[in-house]
Amino acid sequence: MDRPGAGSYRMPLAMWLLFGAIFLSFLVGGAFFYYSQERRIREDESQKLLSIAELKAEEIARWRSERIGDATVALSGPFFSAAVKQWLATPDPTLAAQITERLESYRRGYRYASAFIVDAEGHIRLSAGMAEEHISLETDAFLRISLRQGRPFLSELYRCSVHNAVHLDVIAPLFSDTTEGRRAVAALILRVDPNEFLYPLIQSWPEQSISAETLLVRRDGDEVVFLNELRLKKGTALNLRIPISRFDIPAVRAVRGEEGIIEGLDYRGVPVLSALKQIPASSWYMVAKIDSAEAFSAWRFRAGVIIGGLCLVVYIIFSLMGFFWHIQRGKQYKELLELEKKEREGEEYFRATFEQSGVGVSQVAFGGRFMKVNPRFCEIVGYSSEELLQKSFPEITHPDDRAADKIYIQKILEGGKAVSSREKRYIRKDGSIVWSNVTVTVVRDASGAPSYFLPVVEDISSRKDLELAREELMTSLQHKNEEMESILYAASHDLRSPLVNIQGFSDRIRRYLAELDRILNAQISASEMCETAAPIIRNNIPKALGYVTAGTDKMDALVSGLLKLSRLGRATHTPEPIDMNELMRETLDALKFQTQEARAVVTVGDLPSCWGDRREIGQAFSNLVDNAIKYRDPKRPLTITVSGTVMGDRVTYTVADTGIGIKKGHQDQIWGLFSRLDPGGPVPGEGLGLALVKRIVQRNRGKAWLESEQGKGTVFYIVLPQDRTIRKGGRT
Amino acid sequence: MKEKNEVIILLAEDDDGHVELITSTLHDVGILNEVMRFRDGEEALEFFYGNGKKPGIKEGASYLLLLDIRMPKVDGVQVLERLKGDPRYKKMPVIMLTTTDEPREIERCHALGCNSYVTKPIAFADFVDKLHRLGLFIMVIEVPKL
Repeated sequence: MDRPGAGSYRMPLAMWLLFGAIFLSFLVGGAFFYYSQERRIREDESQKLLSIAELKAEEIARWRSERIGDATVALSGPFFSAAVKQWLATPDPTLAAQITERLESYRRGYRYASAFIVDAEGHIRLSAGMAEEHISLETDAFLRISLRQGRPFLSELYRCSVHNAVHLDVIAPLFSDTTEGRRAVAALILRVDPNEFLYPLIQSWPEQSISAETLLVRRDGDEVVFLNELRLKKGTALNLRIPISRFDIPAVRAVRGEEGIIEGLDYRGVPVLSALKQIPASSWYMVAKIDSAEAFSAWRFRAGVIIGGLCLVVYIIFSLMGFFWHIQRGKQYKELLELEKKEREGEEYFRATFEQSGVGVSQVAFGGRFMKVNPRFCEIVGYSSEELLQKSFPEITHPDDRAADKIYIQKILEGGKAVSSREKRYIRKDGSIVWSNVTVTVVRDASGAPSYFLPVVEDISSRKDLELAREELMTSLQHKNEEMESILYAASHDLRSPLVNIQGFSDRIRRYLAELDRILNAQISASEMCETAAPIIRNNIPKALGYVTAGTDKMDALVSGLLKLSRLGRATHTPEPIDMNELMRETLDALKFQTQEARAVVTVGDLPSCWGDRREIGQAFSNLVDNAIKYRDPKRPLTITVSGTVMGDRVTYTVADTGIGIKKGHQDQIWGLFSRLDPGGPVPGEGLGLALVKRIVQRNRGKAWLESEQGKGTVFYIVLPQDRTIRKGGRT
Repeated sequence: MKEKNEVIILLAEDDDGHVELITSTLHDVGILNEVMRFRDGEEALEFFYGNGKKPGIKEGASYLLLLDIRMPKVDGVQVLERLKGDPRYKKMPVIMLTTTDEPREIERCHALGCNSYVTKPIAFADFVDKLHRLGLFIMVIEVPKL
């Protein structure tokens, strides 16, 4: 199973890429859609504006030509033109009335503000709807142009100084043929009130709009003149003028000859979209305009919808990403939770294993100090965990095992082999020794440097005890074997030797007796007989008998020695703690007589107690003291010193005397069965004492040896096991 | 008896009774040579090497050693080992005269170079018989002069 690393908690790259691609395509598509929509709407608006401008321009052009047509029709009729000429020649009131009536009909029929006839000098001669007699200077200027051109003429829109109103006049000259040629004598003027039709036509807009309007401009020198009343500014007709240097204003660009769609600022300084169109056969220019704000308001709304939609899509994408991420995170948290749970379970398991383990487990710092110990380890070494945490590994290790421990640890650290085990001893709190099998594992950190040790300790005391018992059994068997050998040796040598004498001298005695018998039977005198028999009876026979008796004595001593030995072998061996001070006192009491007789000074130190068979050990020490007394040097006073010291789990006792000492070469021999250095010497004995000591010590799992110098004295060393009740500290 | 009578018999034996029996029996069978007795191995070695004292051995004399094994201080085997390891005494006849008939013991003495091994029987008749033969052996054996 893959362990979930930090990386796998993130959203997969593919997912990110997918989301990114979707997001980008939406952005690009959205932008493209936005701009195409914008362009379309701009085109639509422009097209609409242009259509309106063209339509109006056409209408205005048509209107203008109609006005010219009106005048032409009026003058081309057979009556009017002739009647006017006639009336001018001869003013007749009837005719005047007829003409005036006709004028009035024109005015009314064509909806002119007024209709009148002026003569060449500009005097109003006949009129309908007019009161004054002379036309204004402005009207006169147009009349002059019309008369000069000789055909119907449409004036500019102008402000009349007499009426202070905007006029547009249709001027049609009247000609009369004279001798000097054709001459303009008068003109028909049809006066248009622009408010009546033209201005409403201009201002009308086919749709509902708050800012859309049409305006009519013309160039007047270096200025643009606005001809009509504006929708959004009052009193502008022929009053508002803008320099033609203002290129940002569509009206300026119109009079400069541009046509089509122009974006710019209007007279108010507000951004507008405008369509420019020149009105044919005139100096007029049509500007149809609408505030950009209004023109694009629909677009704005749509753009808002588009952007809003895009935002919504982006939001949805982000929400989806967030959702997936959340799910992913949820999964990740779940995994982390699972992992933590597992770790906790693992820790729980480890803790339980550690706490309840049947073997001693501890955690030991690099320097040997305990960091953690389990109850079993505490039990094995007999310390509480608090006490152990104050101690180090070597402190509780048996002194003899510390050096080997060091080598072992070094080997583990160098060899890189994690596990290996060895047998070693710990010193328990009560001072007793516990054998253990220790397996040390080195726990290393990520860099491989050892961070601490993990020793697993198994109490193998019982196994060790068994091993020791087996060893002891082997030793005792070996001793038994040696004993058998020595008994065999003794039997073959020492038991035969007296028998040879008994047999030999018995035979001698038999021969002496035979000789005596021969003497008795001999034919000799009594005195002669006495003389011959006397040495036999007095010397030879007693001497031979002496050998026989000595032989039997020797036999008896040997047999009782062997019996003693065999009794030692057969006696129940009952090891127990021995208070040596007490036992020594009893032993010396029993030897009191001999000690006093030898005038020996016996010094006994404080003796540590030991473990063994009380009766046997008592016998051994008794033999040693007895020997010291027997083999004393008569020339020197005898002192016997008994002492004892504890060494590890053993006690060493010494029995030192100031006796004759033993020659170097004879020191081994004296331990032998029936072995005596000086059989014929002053000290009686059968060579059994030290042999018994040796056997007793061996039976009690001890050791005996001696150091001696001839003529100075001897020191016997007896090593025995320490009292176990002390050694084990009462531990079962 | 010519030169052979000049051979001095050395007897290393700790038991006085044995010495008495051996010497008298040898005498009975006609071995009248001088007999020197040592009480233990140490005394015997002192005779050969002195050990601080003047050695008892005489230049130009012939010796034959009757050696018991079981003796205090230094036993017969140790004496045999010492003498047979010494070129000076290597050719001197050594007869083991001892109570034990342990085959291992006998073998060991032969290995060390003893010339003969005689067991002291308990039955006196046998004992005498053995010594008779020993006497004959002593009579025929070539004993080099030291």
